[in-house]
Amino acid sequence: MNDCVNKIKERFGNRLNVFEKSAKRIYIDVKPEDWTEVAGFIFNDLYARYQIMTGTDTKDAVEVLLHFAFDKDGMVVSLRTLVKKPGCEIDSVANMITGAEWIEREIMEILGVKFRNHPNPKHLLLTEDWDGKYPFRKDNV
Amino acid sequence: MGIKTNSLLKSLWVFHFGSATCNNCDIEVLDALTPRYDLERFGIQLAGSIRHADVMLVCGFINKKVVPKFKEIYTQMPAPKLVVAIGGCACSGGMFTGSYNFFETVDKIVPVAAYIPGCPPKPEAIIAGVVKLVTALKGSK
Amino acid sequence: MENIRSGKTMSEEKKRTIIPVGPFHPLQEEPEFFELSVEGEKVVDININLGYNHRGIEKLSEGKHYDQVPFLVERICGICSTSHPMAYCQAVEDITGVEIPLRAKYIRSIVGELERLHSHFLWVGLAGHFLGYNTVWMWAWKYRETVNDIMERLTGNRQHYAMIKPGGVRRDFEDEDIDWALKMVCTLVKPIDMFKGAVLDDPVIHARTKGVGILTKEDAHRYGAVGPTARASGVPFDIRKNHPHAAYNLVKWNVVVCNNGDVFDKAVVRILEMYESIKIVKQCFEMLKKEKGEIDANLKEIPVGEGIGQYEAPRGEVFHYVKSDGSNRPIRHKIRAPSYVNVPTAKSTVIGETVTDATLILASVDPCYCCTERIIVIDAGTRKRLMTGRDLVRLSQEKTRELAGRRTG
Repeated sequence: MNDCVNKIKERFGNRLNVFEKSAKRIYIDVKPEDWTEVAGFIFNDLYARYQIMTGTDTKDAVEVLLHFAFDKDGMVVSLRTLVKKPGCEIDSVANMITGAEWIEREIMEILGVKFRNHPNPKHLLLTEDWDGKYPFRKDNV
Repeated sequence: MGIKTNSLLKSLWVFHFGSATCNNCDIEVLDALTPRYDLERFGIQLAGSIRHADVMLVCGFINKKVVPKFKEIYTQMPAPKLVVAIGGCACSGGMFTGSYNFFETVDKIVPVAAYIPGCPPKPEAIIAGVVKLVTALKGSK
Repeated sequence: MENIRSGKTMSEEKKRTIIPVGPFHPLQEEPEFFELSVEGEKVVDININLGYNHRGIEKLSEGKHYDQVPFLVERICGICSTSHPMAYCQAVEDITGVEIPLRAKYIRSIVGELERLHSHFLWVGLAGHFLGYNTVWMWAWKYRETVNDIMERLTGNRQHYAMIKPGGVRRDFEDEDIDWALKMVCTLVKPIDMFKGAVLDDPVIHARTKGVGILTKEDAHRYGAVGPTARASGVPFDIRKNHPHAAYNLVKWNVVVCNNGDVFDKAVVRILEMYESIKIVKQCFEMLKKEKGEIDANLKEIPVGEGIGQYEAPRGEVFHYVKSDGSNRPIRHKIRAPSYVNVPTAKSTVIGETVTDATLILASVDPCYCCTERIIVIDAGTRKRLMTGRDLVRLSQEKTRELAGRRTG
């Protein structure tokens, strides 16, 4: 197993669930309350490159993925958490990862996830007077 | 060559308006100014301001955020004004008609004098379209 | 009110007066893409507004089956047209674990690198235009036509080539077309030499671009910057080398990295990359003449799962994530273009610089052309609108003329 992935495992133990799809694709399941801590470790301590976040609607929760690249190893590590409905709240990482500011705003407006302590929670793509239906929610809340 | 120069009443100033576009049509419009196609030998020039334009070239489709701006720019255009829809998206919405951000086809918002289909239309097609339009207008006077 | 008249010099004694102009309605409140707030000549804040180009492509993708999606995502960007299908198809291939045939790998790399060439020629032209070197603009776009011609002959279209599909490529190249294309590609070396000389040796360009719009390595990390924007700041990664795919690990080429992070270095990276692209294309063409075989792995079923694809587009990493539930359409398709992470770096590179350098700095990350059309300058105190993008371009061109005049005068 890759050195960086080992470090993540050592640091967080069973607060995580690591799934190695292949040497280049690692998926790590994490609880919402550990989200910013694990992200911070990967971004700051291991100095991984932030790529993007993905939000997907599922039946009881919105699945949020935070993708990091370890370019030296040709590896992508995707942190995954489930943000439970109906509340749909999780801490923002934008104060730590400046590049994540836009995608959190986007996920807010297309999936209705609230990112706590986001520096600028305005609409990114949709008009300010959008009718409130989240385009990517299958239940269209 | 003689026919083309005779068919232009005056030097046409065109204003380029790119809305929700992939930029290909916009680049092909600009391409028409470059040495190989050289629109300027027909007296066609890019206008810096809509207030100086005779023809508005619309590329891309009009999405919900752009509608008010588009309508406003159209009213700023001095009469007689002509709108030319360039590319599949401007002509009919292309493959984006199903999008949640699609508003309406250009011709449902403002009158369109000419449609130049293509994805993207080659610079030759754009020039041919504009020349055809002017010839038709001259014929109808 | 229709013409900009700047009574200005660059010296400290006289203050620059800028008369507001522009095609805006006094009551217009629609935000522009880039909103620069200025105090005097300095940019003190930048607000970036998106949404003008939002087309809902990710959602449209869920309604298309896997083979239709490349046609959709090709049209995300006309300049990086093949980059999105490349990344998407790799994401699908990541789900299935399939390896595409060798011949398809070479064809993918050829199409990708030819696209990089046309995109960088385009950028050189635009940068020339913003600087006021309109000859550079015309010549760069003239040589770009050669690349368009090659694409048209090989793939059938000048842009939107529809070449990449999950499992391989859609069309093969004939040997006679390969020979012709090789000849044409070789004719591009001299023009690139010319642009390289023009940029690297011109003292006025040095004056306009060195030390301007610096993106530090730390900021490149904070924003997740990619592509030439990051490599100009000393961040040595290139998806083609670090996450190899297609034929990139089968041919010899180098990653271009500079260290100062300014506009000059961003230009140098792009120009030197063009030589590497030609190297890659030539080697791939030669291999295609020897390596016959299939071009398509004939993927039929996409199993349940998720996949990630990355590709080094001319502007940087394109990232696609695809989730499959075993049906014939993706249930989620996340698309991240390089400009999404590069454009925000403007907050760090434009603030503190002068308004005359603003278009150049914004253009140096190579954002979408339509987005750079929509720039507005606002007075930080009164919030009054001062200038539009076109005025900014003119300002930039005037500064170059002034600097050139000072050198000869």
